[in-house]
Amino acid sequence: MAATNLSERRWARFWNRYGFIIAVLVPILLWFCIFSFGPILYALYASLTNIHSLDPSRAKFVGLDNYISLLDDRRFLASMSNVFKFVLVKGILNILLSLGLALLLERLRRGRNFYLFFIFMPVVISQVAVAMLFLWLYDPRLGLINYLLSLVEIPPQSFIRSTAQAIYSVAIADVWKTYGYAAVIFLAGLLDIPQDYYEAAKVDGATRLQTLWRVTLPLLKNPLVLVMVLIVIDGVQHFTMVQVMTGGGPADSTLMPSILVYNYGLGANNYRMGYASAISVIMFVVIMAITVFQLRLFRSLYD
Amino acid sequence: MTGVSLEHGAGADARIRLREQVIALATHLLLVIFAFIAFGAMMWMVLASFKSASEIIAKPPTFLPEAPTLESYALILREQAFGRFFINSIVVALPSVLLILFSSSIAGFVFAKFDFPAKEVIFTIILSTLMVPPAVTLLPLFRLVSRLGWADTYQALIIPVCVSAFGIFLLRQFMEGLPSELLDAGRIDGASNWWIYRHIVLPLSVSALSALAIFSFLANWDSYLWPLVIIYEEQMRTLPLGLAYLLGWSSRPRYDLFLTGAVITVVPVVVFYSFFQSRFVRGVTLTGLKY
Repeated sequence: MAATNLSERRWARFWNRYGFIIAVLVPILLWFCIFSFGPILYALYASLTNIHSLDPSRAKFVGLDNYISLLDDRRFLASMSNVFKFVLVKGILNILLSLGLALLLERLRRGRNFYLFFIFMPVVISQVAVAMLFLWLYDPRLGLINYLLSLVEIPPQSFIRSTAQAIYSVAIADVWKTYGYAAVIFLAGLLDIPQDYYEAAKVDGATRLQTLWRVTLPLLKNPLVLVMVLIVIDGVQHFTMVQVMTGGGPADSTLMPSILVYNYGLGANNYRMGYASAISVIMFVVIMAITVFQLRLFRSLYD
Repeated sequence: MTGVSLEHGAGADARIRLREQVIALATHLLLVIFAFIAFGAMMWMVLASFKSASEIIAKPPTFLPEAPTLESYALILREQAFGRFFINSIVVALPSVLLILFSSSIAGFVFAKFDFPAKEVIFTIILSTLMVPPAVTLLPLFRLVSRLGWADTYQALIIPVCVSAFGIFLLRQFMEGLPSELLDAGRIDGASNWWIYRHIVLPLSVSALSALAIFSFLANWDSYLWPLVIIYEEQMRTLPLGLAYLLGWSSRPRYDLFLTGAVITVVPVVVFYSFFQSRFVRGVTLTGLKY
């Protein structure tokens, strides 16, 4: 009798203390197990088998065979070099434009929100809609860009229809849509810099360029790291705009790893879930490695 | 002598002022160009949706429609179920966002204001899923959701996205800044945790919640890969999916339909954005800088 009372009281105390936490976290963790951790572990497992996307019953364990075959897969290697170019172009243009824009906006005493209203708008609209807009702008015969080029007597370009230009064309479309986001982050960083630093630089007779290089940029370290990490993560995973604009073509010149995962995993006559999962696991490792590397690099540069 | 130096000083002053004015003018000029490149392209798209199919591909291109017409809207609504796609997008986006707000805020509250064993371990594991690209979970989720028999249903588009690791992180960060004395005052009065969450914590977290609402809504409205994988029936398509399927509708590119469909897709977001612009922009710094 006394024993039950004691355990009942203990239980009541336990529930008093942790009941709310358990009631909240159990459903949330259950969701993560089902829709996040579970699928991640399943992808790791699948990448070591020859599992079929629609009929997993005859899956056989094949060790690292999928990863080894990928090293000889020309489409996979093409997607890796494409995504490297994509991230490089996107990164450089994005940072130059957004930083330039933020520096201009910082100079304004009023009207910042007026300009931002227009410049930030592409950030909020759907990627598929932007892809449609650029399909039209880039059309070799009917598009606005070739028309504008013809006014300054530049011969028409093929843009996304040419294997040489396609990857840069889709990267530029992506930059048009995204650089406003980075600009807002840079602007917030710039506005955080105390004016004293600039006055001190002025007293020391620093030129504008010296001030930018020696004062502003080092103080923008955190936003810069953040933007670069976001650009790389975003770029390596990119799917939507390229899939809609080119589907990876022409001749695989804009093929991205995500598109390949989709094609190998769920494309007609493919359904090679194991093989496709191996690509997704490689993407994961690459993203993690680059993120850690960038953070390290910046720490060693400035600390 | 003094007069000369005074004049000289005034001249230098005027020159500095002139220089500043030129720089200010150049700044505005450059910003107008930036704004025009962003907004002009979109305006041109909107205007094109009111042109006839032949005017859209006319040379030289027109900016304003010569004979404004709604024919491409009529065509797209007749030939493709864009009205239905619009409703589907809303039916998916609203519950997804509400569930993300609820789960993020209540989990954020628990992680910010309670102590329990393995708290940081659990939190770190949840946070680490942010580094995993969606391509990794795509195929396993496709198998799982198909097995559940959810293909071509709304819950297939809602349940797998209704909890957000980023949202939990954001709300935890934010709620750690709320003074614990406020919560303790509630506890002394005998209020339950749920009551404290509902009446003290939630009202104080409106700024973080609105940033999260904006970004999860945008992500959901924009979502393309997951619906592409799990939706087969035309009637169940969301706007981005319906828009992308226009590409295969005719053998020639029908830019009149592409652009009209794009306008229908972006209008709700742009209207929403026009009213809450400053919140959108503040949301970037709130969600971005605190990574």
